[in-house]
Amino acid sequence: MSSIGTGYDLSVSTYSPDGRLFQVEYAAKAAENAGLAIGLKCSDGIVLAVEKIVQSKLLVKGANRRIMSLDNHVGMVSSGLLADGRHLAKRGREEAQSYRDQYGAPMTLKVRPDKPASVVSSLMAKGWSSPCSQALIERVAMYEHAYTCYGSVRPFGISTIMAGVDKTGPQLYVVEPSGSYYGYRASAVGKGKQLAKTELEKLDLSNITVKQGVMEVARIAHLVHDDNKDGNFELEMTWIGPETKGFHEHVPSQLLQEAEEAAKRALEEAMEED
Amino acid sequence: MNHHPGAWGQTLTPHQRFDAYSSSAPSRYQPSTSGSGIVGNGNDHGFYDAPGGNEAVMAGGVVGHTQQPLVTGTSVLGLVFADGVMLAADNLASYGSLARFRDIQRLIPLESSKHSSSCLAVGGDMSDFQYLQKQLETMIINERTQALGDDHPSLGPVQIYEYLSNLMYARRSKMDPLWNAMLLGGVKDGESFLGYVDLLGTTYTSPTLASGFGSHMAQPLLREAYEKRQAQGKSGEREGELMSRDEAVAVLEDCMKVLYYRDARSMNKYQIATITAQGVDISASKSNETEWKFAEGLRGYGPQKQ
Repeated sequence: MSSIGTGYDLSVSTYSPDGRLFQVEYAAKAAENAGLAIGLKCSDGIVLAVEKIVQSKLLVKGANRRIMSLDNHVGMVSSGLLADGRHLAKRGREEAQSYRDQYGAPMTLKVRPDKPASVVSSLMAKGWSSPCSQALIERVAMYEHAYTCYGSVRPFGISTIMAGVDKTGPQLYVVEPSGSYYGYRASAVGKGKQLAKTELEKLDLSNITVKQGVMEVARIAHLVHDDNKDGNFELEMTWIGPETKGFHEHVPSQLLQEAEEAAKRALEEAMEED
Repeated sequence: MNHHPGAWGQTLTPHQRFDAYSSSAPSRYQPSTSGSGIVGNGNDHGFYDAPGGNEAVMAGGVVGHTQQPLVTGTSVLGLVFADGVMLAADNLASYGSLARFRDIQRLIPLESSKHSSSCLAVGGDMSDFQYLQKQLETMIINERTQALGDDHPSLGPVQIYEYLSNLMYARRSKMDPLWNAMLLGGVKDGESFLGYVDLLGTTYTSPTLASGFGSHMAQPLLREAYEKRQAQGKSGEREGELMSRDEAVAVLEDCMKVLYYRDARSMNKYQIATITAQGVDISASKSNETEWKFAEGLRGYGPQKQ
């Protein structure tokens, strides 16, 4: 690592001579090495999943859930430092609630301006705030970004998938420790994200339903996981779709079990073919 | 403080207006006469003692709270039946004796999940009710989001009822009550719940409940029907001790009709909420057949013949 020993990686308020913020890059490393999380945007909703490595046989099965809700219609899962994820979720909940208090409606993840861009920019020139600044994803990302601006703080060590169904339909975003965010049809963060993303690319993402999505996500999680290297894991999965009436809920245990069994069968079949 | 429904929207007589315990009595919140200006006395730097610096002074030396409701809804009814709980309320919000808003839904579904569902029926001040609805929704969303983890219990009707009664009692203790009488009905894990809360923070539960005028006129009818059905079940004449869905609807419809005949703040347009393990179902507005021929003979109603 070229950054070590140069003195430019000690503070997030100091750039390196070639314009990088090493602390932010290290934070991204913290996120990369934790268990895999997958998010999938379907035609009728969203699916979130996380691979939880079983750290100890003494842990209760199914305990220590990792996927969180920000509002009725928004879920998030992050990979990296768990406590950072919980803190971000708390902030997200506060943002979503304060929007409800002020506007009496559920918050959108990312407002799509319903006016032409020229009108929006002329309104903004008159001092109106950007339509995006009232969107959940923007508020959360700006909060993360603030932690990359001061020497006294540490950036968030998490990559976060945030997904929900609002009035504009299903939405899925990934927020990085730097505070930048991108919208995706499907994405993965954490250990093995490259392989997971390659598999996600093979899906028919514009037509897939949440029910099919659950099966596919389970299959990909089992495919990416390496039992010999990482030990056993539990799969936790939530969704928003017609089955949940727009609420963010856990996938029913029976369906999850079916999906995992199908995933294991598919893996065994693939092995036999090789 | 006369909170009987008969007094809603009525002008107060001077005698009624005098209320020694009212927060608007001049003995409370006397504007401070000492320590005015930025150079205050004592430990405080005194800035907030400046004239006009506190709410009491800004309100002219007194703090006023709601002393009577303005736009009101009348009685609500509740009844436990075989599959859960039913609630009934008409669609009227009165402005005094004027039938001002005639399409108001006073039944609000609060939450419904695999395990539990609850619904609220509200009478009394409609703006207090809207405020209350917002408070409850905030609380329920907050609890629901946290309950997705495994370290937070999920809400049921009993918990919502507890929250609601604490809120009502806290407000009445601040001498600033939310002017409502409410019934909360719900089902959790097969258990039915029906409870009453009002502006004083009074709470009670019962398999049949009614608020306001309904507690005088509908409650006896509900109780009679409930106990009759219970006795039939006990004697083996009929199966089960609770009313079926159809029986419960029939009893509630009968009660709404009696209330429409007798309660001048009611309207012949009402809804019934059915809360079961399957969720909360709120019926479309409906009305009863009524007969007013008898009224022609009454003084003050039909054409008068001295």
